[in-house]
Amino acid sequence: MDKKTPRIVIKNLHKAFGSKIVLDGVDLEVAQGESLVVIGGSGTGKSVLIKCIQGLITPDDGSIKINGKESVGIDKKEAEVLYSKMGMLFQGGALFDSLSVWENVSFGLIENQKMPRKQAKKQAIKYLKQVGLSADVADLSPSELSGGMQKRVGLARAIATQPEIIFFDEPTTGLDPIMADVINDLIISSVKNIGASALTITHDMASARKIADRIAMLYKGKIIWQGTVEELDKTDNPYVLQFVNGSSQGPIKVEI
Amino acid sequence: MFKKQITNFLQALGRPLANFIKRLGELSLFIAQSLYNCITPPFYLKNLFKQMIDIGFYSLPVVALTTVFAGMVIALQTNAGFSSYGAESAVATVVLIAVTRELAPVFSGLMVAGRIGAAMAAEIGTMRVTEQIDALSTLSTNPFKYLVTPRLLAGILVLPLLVLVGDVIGIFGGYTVAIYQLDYNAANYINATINELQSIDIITGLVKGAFFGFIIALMGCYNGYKSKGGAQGVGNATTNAVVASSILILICNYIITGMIFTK
Repeated sequence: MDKKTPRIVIKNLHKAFGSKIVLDGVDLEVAQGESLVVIGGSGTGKSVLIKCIQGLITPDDGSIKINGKESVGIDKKEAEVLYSKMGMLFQGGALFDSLSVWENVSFGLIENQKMPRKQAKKQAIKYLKQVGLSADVADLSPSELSGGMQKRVGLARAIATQPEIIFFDEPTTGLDPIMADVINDLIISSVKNIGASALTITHDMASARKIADRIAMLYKGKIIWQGTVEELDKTDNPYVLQFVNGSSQGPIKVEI
Repeated sequence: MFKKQITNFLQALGRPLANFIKRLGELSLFIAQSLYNCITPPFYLKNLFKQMIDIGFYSLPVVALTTVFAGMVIALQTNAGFSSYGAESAVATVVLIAVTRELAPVFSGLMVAGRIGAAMAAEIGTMRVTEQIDALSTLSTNPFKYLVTPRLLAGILVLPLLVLVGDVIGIFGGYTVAIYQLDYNAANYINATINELQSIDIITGLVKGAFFGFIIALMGCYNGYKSKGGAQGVGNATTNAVVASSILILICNYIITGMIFTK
């Protein structure tokens, strides 16, 4: 793979659940080391989009190329190799509550890379420090942590396997503005540290402006606009303007 | 007008049937996938041992309590029913047969279904709705192998052991009632029990245990794995797991008894 091959290329992606069309021909690209933020209202298919890329949902039609390799319809073994290079920070953290904090962080290292537990714990503490948590929390259970701390542990777990692509699902939802900014900073620094590409879905515009190299807007199953943050400020696209300004008046009708 | 009524009627009939067939298909795929994953690496032995302790060791008190009282009540009833035809030898035989063939496996199965089937459905269901199962996938771990396989294997391996414990305790329960309440001769009672003891009775109970263990773990995992829609979904999954496994245990019990003991 040469340096110009994009990490992710999505072409004409379709997905429907029953009669409800969620993705209706999505085209999107994420370059190496780039941070792309997909914005869009609730229920516009943002989560389905990243689940398709991660192979958690099988798309109905279209193509997803990861590092230049087609990922739709490949066999299990090839898929495992592709997906092992991805990490994900879930909206609710999705920490395993039967395991301690450090076991969560080093889960991929212990289960897949077969790292000895002692070494894995050291690694876990290193990654916890990277996200601003002390070694004291390592032996706690995830339920003993606050929401912001759980997000940080989730982030540490996502970067521990040194993935090439990291997905962030609403990383700042449910956090106070200061903690949200802390998470934004951590996302930027940790992604840059390991040189990964990032794909974030959010409806938090402050977060999007801060972490995005490029922003794309998903509406009615299609990407209706994409560009840099500067371009976002100059755009006259009425859909984007309405979303960015958070107005109930405009071309986007909210179904009540 | 009339045509519409017929259509409505057929729809009302067809939708549940279609749903039922869909569920049946889903369940069959789930079983096939579980069995395939039971025999292909990687194996999560640590999870298997943890489940075996959870299902086996921690169920001992409930299994002991239910089987001891089952054995006791059988002794009382047999005495009442056979008192006019020399109940002494009959009580020992009936307690032995009833406990080893039916009561120990069925009561162990039902108690474990309530205790473990519900817990499995709730735990896996919560993991599903909080995206922990997706998180396993993103960490390149097959959630099926990590969660479902150890539970199924543990159920199949451990339930027969529980049944064995239930056999001993149930027979002991019958013995205490016969000796201390009905004033039978202890030596005669023990002799009768040993003379009547047959390996087929014990083995049937163990085979039943293995099937029941599979049913409990399967229903717990399946309902948990397919649950959706937050707390209510997990609640439904838990109820379904217990109800379905209890009913299936009783049906399966009848079938196995029918296959082994009718000639």
